[in-house]
Amino acid sequence: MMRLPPVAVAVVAAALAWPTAALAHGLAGRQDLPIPRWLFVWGATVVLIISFVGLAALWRSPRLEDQGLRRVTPIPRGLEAMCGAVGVAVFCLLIYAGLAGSQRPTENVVPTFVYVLLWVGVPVLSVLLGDVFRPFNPWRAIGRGAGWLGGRLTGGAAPAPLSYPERLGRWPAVIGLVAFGWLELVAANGDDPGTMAVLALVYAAVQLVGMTLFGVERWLERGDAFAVYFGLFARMAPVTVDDGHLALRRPLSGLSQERWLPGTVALLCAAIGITAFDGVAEGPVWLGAVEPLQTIFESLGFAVDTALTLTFTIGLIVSVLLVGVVYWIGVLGMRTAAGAASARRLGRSFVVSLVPIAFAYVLAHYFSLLVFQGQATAYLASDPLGTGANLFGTASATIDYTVLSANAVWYFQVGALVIGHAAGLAVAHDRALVLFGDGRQATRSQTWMLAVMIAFTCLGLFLLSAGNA
Amino acid sequence: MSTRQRVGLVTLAVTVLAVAFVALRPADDDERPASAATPAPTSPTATPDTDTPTEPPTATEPAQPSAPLLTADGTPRSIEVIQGEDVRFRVRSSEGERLHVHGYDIFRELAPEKTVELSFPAELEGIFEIELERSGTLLAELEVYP
Repeated sequence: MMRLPPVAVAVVAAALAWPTAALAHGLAGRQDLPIPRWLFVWGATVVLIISFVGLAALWRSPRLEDQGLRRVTPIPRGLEAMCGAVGVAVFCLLIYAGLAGSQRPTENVVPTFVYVLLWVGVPVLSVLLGDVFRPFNPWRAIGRGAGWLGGRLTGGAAPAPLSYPERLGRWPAVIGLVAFGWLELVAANGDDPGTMAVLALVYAAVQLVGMTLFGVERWLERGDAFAVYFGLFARMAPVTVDDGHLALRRPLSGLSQERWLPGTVALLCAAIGITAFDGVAEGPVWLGAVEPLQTIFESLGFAVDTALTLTFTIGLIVSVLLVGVVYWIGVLGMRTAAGAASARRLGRSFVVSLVPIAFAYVLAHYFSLLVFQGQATAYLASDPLGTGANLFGTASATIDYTVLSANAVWYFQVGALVIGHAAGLAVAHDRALVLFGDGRQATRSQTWMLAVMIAFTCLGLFLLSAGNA
Repeated sequence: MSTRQRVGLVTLAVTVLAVAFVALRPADDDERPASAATPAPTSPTATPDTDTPTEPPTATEPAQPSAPLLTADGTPRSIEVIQGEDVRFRVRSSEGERLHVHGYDIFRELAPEKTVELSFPAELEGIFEIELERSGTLLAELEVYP
């Protein structure tokens, strides 16, 4: 029999000072139950076995280098401009809703749109359908439109963009990504619609300045956190655009086409670290660390709220840095095993194997949020400002919490991490074959990268497990 | 490694994992997630109870121990139940407030310093916030396990 009393009386008087509930979870009224310990153990076993069987039995010559592109159909001209217009319109509506609408996160469309549909929904769509964000990206549309108009007005005499400082690479996007993670997970008013609208305007302004200075595509590939982040996930998709045509390719093969730019490693480490911190922040390890840290900040003269925010900021940064350290340990180890290649080159070559794992983290942590809170789209679309409107007659819709059972969520979470791990393994294996040519040396070098991936996947499982809750 | 060896290896791995799954997976009434292993002060007398017995409970059976009292002061608690059981708790607020059980979307108007008892069947799985809506105070988290 379960060690639970028959009635609802298992009241745990939490000995820990709970951080304000407003942090991070103001939006969703439901959280996932921790996965049971047995499932954690089993999931970790699956990961280990897949890893070693994979090393022994995977292919002997690179298979993901060649995308096997097949063009399917030409994309109608003008479609991109139309998507861009939709993107700009939606952006403007959201800004209006954020500024003019209800300031309660659950009543206003903005927090659900940004933190659920955009932040979780778009990665899922990107992995399935390719870079869906690109045509709708509002700043890209504005930038291209302005460029086109400028060209017309000046008769092609518009000044050429400045040359982008290549050493800067993707670091602007890294900063953008961490800032977004901070807003979502740390900032006390991060789901306040008005604040979000203002910050979205600031973000858009930065993008427009960047595109004006350095050119639209150059900036999007390096400076726009969302374009870079979603674009990396889209590299895994079996669908892409090839010279004005919709094309099919082998899943994951797009990752081999990823051109390395400075800051890519940091970007992926930040992506994993941010999601991991969201998991950590719910567990006892972190909750135990909050109070002493907060006390230190308070004794330094900070107000209670500020001290808490500083504490969580440190947690987020440490989480991102730890992910980076683990990755570089793997790369250094690989170098000792493989000899020749420099650590820097290895780090660059293998970083794409983190993309599937980063996506698995997103799925495992946010899938139920997407399924449940995503349903809120129905009533928020009809009443975006929270003013009692009913534009599409769906304002009285509710969230059906029975569509997924807790068991289904658990299996999905473990399945996502395991499959993400297997995909990362396949990508790393292929990279190793390309880099080292010889299968034996590839395997030897890869053992280190595999250890890194096992560490990340098992950490992901641990964050979901009962041991953490 | 020959193709046959590879197939053999993969088959072996799948078999091991399937057996492990069956062996590890608890029967329905086996193990609890470790969170519940926290020695919870389950005895109802351990919960601070300053309530007057004159408050008429809305729906209770007299044989059951009194339900935990949730107030805005003190740390949020967690209430753990198995799906299908009844959730029971009492709430009191020093000011007029509105109680909201998220997910279940149960709302109750609370008069100042009046204790209200709630009881409802736990149908939805997951962790849900029990909150004083106006001030946004988290009273407890309701954890419903399958």
